[in-house]
Amino acid sequence: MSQRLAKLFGDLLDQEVKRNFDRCWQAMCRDLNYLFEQKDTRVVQASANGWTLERLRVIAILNSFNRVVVGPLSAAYRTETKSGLGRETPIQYGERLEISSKTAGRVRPALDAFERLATESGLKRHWLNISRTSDLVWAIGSRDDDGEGNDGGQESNE
Amino acid sequence: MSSPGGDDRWVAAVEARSAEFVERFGKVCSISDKALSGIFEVGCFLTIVGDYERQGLVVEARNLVEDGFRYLTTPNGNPANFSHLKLVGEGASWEIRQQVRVCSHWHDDVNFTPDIVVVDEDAEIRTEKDQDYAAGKRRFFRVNASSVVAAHECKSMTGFPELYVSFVGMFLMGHAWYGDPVSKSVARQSRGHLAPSLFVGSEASNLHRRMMTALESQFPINLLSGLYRGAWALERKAGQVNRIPFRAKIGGTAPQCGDDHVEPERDRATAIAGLDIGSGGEQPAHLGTALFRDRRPALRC
Repeated sequence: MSQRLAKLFGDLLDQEVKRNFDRCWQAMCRDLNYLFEQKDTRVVQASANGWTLERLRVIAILNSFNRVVVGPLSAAYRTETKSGLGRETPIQYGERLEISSKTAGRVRPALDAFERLATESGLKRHWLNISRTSDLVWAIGSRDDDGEGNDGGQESNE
Repeated sequence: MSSPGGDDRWVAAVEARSAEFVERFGKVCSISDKALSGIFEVGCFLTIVGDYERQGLVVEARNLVEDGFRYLTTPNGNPANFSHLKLVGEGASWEIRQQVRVCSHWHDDVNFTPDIVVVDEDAEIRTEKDQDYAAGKRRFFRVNASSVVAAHECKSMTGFPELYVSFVGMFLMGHAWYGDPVSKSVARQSRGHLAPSLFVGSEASNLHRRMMTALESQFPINLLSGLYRGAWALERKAGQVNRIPFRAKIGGTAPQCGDDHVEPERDRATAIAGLDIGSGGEQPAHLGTALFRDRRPALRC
């Protein structure tokens, strides 16, 4: 099932991006398998909270998609300036790429939708930014609300 | 991969939500790797701009092309044909430029291109032709390290120790003010230029954070992770990052090649021989450490 999810996201992607995405989620799934084989205390804790191996694999795939695709988009499209740079004053990056109000109008709803997908699935937002599998499992198992200590919802959708 | 728990409605629900997301926003996510890196770099650029704006500096876009900001994406481009930003405030002004090559104060042959550079106002961008660059047919653009306030680097990836350490090398090569009184004034504070910063997309693990904090305590730099969350990653600790107090002409006083008082370079043939280690050719005895020692600035610790 998790492989079907990975294919669903992977089929969207440009070849090189897909390679990065596949490498990312596959490495996380290998780590998860190892942690389960070792009966690592962190996975024991997570399992006790209902996070089965398959569920953790699903989170690993969403985490990878977030870090490879959604994250870079968020960096530019969740950042606004008073001077209107990148919005009213479009930024032309090379021949094809533009960052402007027009492109933000297309990208921001996608970012919001992906965040909704995660929160409606009961995932904490910061879980999708954690890069080490063992840290991710620890955060999930310990019901860590905020890997930063004081998220406080400040990174909301504005 | 089968679910150990058998039928799992949670997994099925996530898959259904994902299918809906893909259906609606697939096109937005279908973007090249190069474009994603570019977008991330622009995100870091906007984060820096926002940081200056929050401190009350006026940000003016210069050299707009058809009312748009034309972003220089490679050091091969002529900076004069692209847009940049002017920062005004605190009785001085500076410029933010992208992809401008920096010529190190350590040696004229040490040139590298940070993603984003803040330079003193009116920093000269030297234009030369070099026989070893595009066979002397194209111009080589670079700014002296003695004009650099802060060179920033953006990495759309997960950070790792070697990345952090290599950024220290970039810092040492590109900031002539290190060792001057300027570097003593750099501290964790809420006002001032961001000290030279490495922006990393993913969150860092606790072990890496310790290393990053240690490096920040030893050098006037910032190693910032979590930029995939947008400017919030910096805003949440805007008062806790290393900053250079605002003042005119921060760049530094170290002698720089191209300055009148610096001795002329050794000849090109000798320099090339020194680099071509694998050729089996005879390497002049004075190359390597001797050359390095002769031109090395006084040790600054």
